[in-house]
Amino acid sequence: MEDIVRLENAGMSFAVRVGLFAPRRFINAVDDISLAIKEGEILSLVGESGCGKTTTGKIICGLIKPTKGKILFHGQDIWKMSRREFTKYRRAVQIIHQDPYASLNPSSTVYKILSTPLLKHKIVSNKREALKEVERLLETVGLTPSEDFLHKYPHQLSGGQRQRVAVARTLTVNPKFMVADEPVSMIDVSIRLSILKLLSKLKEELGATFLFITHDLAVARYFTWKGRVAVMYLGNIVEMGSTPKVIGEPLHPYTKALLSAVPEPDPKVTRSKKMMELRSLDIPSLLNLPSGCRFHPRCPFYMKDTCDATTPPLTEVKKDYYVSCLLYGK
Amino acid sequence: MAEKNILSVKNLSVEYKVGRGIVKAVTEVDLDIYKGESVALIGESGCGKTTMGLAMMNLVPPPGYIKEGEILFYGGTEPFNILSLDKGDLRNFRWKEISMVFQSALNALNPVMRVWDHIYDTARAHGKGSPEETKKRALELLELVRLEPERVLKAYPHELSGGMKQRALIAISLLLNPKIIILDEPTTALDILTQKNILKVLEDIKNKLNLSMIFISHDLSLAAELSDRIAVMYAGKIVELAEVYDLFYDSKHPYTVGLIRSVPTVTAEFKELIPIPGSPPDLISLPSGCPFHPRCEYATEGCEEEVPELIKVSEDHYVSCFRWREMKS
Repeated sequence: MEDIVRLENAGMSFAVRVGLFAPRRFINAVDDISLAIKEGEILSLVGESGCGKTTTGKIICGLIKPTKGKILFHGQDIWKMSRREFTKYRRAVQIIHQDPYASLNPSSTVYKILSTPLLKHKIVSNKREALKEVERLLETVGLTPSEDFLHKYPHQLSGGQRQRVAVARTLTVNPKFMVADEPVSMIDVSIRLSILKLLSKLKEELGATFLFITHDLAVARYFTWKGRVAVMYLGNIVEMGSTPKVIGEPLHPYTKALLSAVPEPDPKVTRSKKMMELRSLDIPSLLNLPSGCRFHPRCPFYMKDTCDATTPPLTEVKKDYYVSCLLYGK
Repeated sequence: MAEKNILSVKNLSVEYKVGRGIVKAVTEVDLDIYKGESVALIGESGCGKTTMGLAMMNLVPPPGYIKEGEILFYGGTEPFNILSLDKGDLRNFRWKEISMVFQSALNALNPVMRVWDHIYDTARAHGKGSPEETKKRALELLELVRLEPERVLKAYPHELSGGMKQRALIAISLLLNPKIIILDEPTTALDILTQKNILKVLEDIKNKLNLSMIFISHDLSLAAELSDRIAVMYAGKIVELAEVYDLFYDSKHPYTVGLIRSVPTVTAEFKELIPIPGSPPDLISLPSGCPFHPRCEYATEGCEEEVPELIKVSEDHYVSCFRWREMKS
């Protein structure tokens, strides 16, 4: 299969001021990411807050322009596209945001929210067709009977229903590539699973490619079982491979530490779990990054004069499995 | 029974008066908290779990009010009803007997006060000890929550990370040696590694200090890890109450079964999970009968008409469901 999206050494730095009169400094939210996503694939990007996973998602959606590196869509650099091509790309790539309370316009009805992109992009030619299409979309995302929802405002819907409307909105333009940024983290526990199931179903039906961004390893494991996971730490991918491998037999010490710390909804399992001891619990500030491997100040396998001196590249240690750690490779 | 209890919630109902009507946040709840145990109140947002916690300190904010019920505290010489304390007594009672670590703890500290000022203010308001004694106690507690005592005491909140702030708040809540500490979503909004660290701190506290802990959370994993008993709340009621192992391995309420079944894990064998259909009810217009019946696969006609009571099904295991006998988990 062809790569639908490819990041080549993409990086994003933001200017910040630490104090009122302090000089501007730059933080690399995303340091250096190379990543290829194949058509029809499903990939999870996991990591803790501040690791750059959302920024990566935004770069892929073309919402921000990376400060270095390239992003290619079907082999074409998106920031060198003509206007028309760029619009086409924008239509092909859609994002589902984390907070369904903030991502829908509170003064528009569900019908308005869904019909606007349909009419704007001339997917339908008149209002009657728009109505029909909106009804079909609502049914696709499980908001039935659709006439109950057409004239409601977002505040009249529950969190789960809003997220379904947000999903329906991305479907209006028939996307080829969907980015879901923490789509269930603000949703009630009992509704989460049904939203995940809806996304899986849509993925099957549309054959769309999916980038799933989450901090929750269990959700990533469940949702992308048949795909891949990439683990991020402080702006870089540290481990990437097929989901059962990464979650089941992780290689990178950071992934191991994360998995050993996840509490489980089973008292016997969770109480017998042993957390990997880290050398430090503090996440380094992005303004003051450690030299060499960024995980070395916390890593229990730290090798003096090696890990703090050399930055480990993301290397293929076995087929389609990448790790950036000096313990592996060579 | 009374010697075992530190707190008894009896027939408690709490409501909020809002523009659209009356929100029945907690409806006729009974719950005993034993001495030295940890109980988790589990439920989704809007199930009344935080309101329960606030009511235990008589802190329900307007437009909320306690409609009926009493909360008996057995920590003094004589048991008394927290809800009938006057203002002065209440001020004395809070924090000294029951303290609370609030949700969004990360914003709970005053940004222009050092950690020490927070601690000293609290101690002084309760007329406790000299600055030297308070300092000694503060250093002990910060040590207990695995912080560097001297440094943190002098720090302003912005100098601390999220996990450190949370631990500092836990230390402050223990300052007056309370008999009960209520923790509202203690690990939400924290990263996985930090979360685990907080859990360890709480475990230490549980083992070293003789107090009762009440966790309020939506997270089943947290309850599985830390609690002795779990109360599952749904639409303002406790639907199941049991010891932690019974609750997970011998669940009797369809909602509990559904919740456990729908949570993905990282180690268990991979299988398709089954979601609970529908969504939680609006607390202003609750469904008739059992509030869970519109989403329940076991519901029959009777469930729509009558509200099931919380009945005892075995030692320390209570369920409010007509069909609990058919439940297998």
